[in-house]
Amino acid sequence: MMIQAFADYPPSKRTKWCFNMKYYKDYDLEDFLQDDSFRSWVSGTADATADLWEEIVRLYPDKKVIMQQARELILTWQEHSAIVTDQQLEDQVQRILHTTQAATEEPGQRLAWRNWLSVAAMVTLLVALGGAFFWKSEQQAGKPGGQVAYMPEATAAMKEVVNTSARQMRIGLPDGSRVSLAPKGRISYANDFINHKKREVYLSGEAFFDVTKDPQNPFFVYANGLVTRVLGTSFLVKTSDTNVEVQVHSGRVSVLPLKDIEHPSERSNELLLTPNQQAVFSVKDNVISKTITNMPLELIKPDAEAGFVFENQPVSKVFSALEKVYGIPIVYDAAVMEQCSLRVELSNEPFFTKLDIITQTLGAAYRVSDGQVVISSEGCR
Amino acid sequence: MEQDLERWKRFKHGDPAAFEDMIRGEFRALFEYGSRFIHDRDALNDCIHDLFASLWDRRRFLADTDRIRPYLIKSLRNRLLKEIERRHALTTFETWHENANAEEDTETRLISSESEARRKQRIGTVLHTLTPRQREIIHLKFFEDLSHEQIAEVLEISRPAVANLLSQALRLFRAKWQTILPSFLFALLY
Repeated sequence: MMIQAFADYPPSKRTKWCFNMKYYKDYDLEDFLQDDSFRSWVSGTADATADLWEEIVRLYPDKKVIMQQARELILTWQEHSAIVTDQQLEDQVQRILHTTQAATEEPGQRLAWRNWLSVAAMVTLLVALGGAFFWKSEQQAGKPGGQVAYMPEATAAMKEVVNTSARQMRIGLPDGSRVSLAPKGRISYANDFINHKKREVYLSGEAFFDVTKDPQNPFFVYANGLVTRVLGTSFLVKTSDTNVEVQVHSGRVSVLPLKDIEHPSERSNELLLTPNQQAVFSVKDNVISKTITNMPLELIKPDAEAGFVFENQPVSKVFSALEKVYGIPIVYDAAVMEQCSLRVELSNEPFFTKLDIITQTLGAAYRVSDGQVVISSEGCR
Repeated sequence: MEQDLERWKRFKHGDPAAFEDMIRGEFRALFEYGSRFIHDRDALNDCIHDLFASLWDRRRFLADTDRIRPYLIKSLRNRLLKEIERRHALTTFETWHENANAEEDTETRLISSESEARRKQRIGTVLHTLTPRQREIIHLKFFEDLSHEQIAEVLEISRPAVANLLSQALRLFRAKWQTILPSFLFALLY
């Protein structure tokens, strides 16, 4: 009967199943409950194994009751699970960090301007705006500097600051955030800075922001059709007349085309960026794509003793070390590259140079796609 | 395990990134577990907030652990039990089912398939026959993937007691399940 059942399936699948079948024959309720693959099948998240489980029901009718029990228990538990949305999670994380950072700070100690790394409650933001866009927006607005990329409909009194000097200009925002505005930069914000639980800044030109953390009142930057939402982090925004680039240095940032902000259903266009990832927003097409920054930074130091020195290590180890240090996902076929091992000494080379060295040694190739590195290889002998 | 230990050590040295990673990584599981105790989301958030804040304050004095999650679950459990004692308004595992049912009233209206609603109701009845402690152990075992040893530590009982409690819970679940729904499963499986 088993042979008959398997005859319809491709040989590779068949071998795998034969092994598994034997194994599942002795499964009890506890085993099913603990089987990850079974659980994802039950939750409907894994189509790939659906055939397998249905086949098991067919082959071992005595398992049917147990499987049904396990299924219902899992479903029930999931129905009763407490959903924590990303936003709620973020709020709670910020709340905890806010408390612990307040406790860490010595009373009265002011934070050095350059010392932002030690103060997670600040955000660095640079917005560079191409001259061409300036010219365009002035034309559209009909008055110099009147129109930044986006202005609120509200008639709330706005404050605008223009840096006409040749040096960086420092500005304190009402919420305690600080801005370092580059020459020719412009920034505007409502006098009533916290409005409808939002802090909003409109800008053109170039500026660094050190933003005070306040999860209850998120910080938004509007630039040339792109909205950047600050979730407590440091990042860089560069705009030109055709593009807006957002590069994340630490923490998280989400970006959204301005046109979608009023339509919650379009929120699927919202992109979450993690360190060393970069979003490029095309002003013309209103499309955001995700990639990796040109020069990814080490987010954490590699292990002190081992560093990036690998003596005949499997590639999986090398890749996971890279992933850890740069926070960039590396995708590869573990089965194909199973035999690949590597003797390589790396130190301060930039990320992509490291990747070049590794892939050339292995005779493999890589490309960047959707903020990830994808390795292609034909395996090693 | 080694990863946990390393992360924990970095946190103990006051590395804010490691601390933030830990909160991000563990928050949902803690919330999920805690919500089986209390339904007041704000109170639960407060408890988790206090837990992490106190960990940060005491970080220099903490022992090493290579299993962060069971450690945190145990700490949260202790906090929740104290909180429940302190505030009578809070519910316990005992009332989980009743509260869940209250929520389900609106939920069930949305369910188009009648059999789906019936299935939920039936399962609710079965689960209700389990004791709060049995439900807790099922959660820790199958939904947090803790080992018997770790559960023993969280619940502060011996390992044999864990095995005993768990098999009791599953046996009861199966027995109840079979008497309540003899015919239904055939419909679902075909």
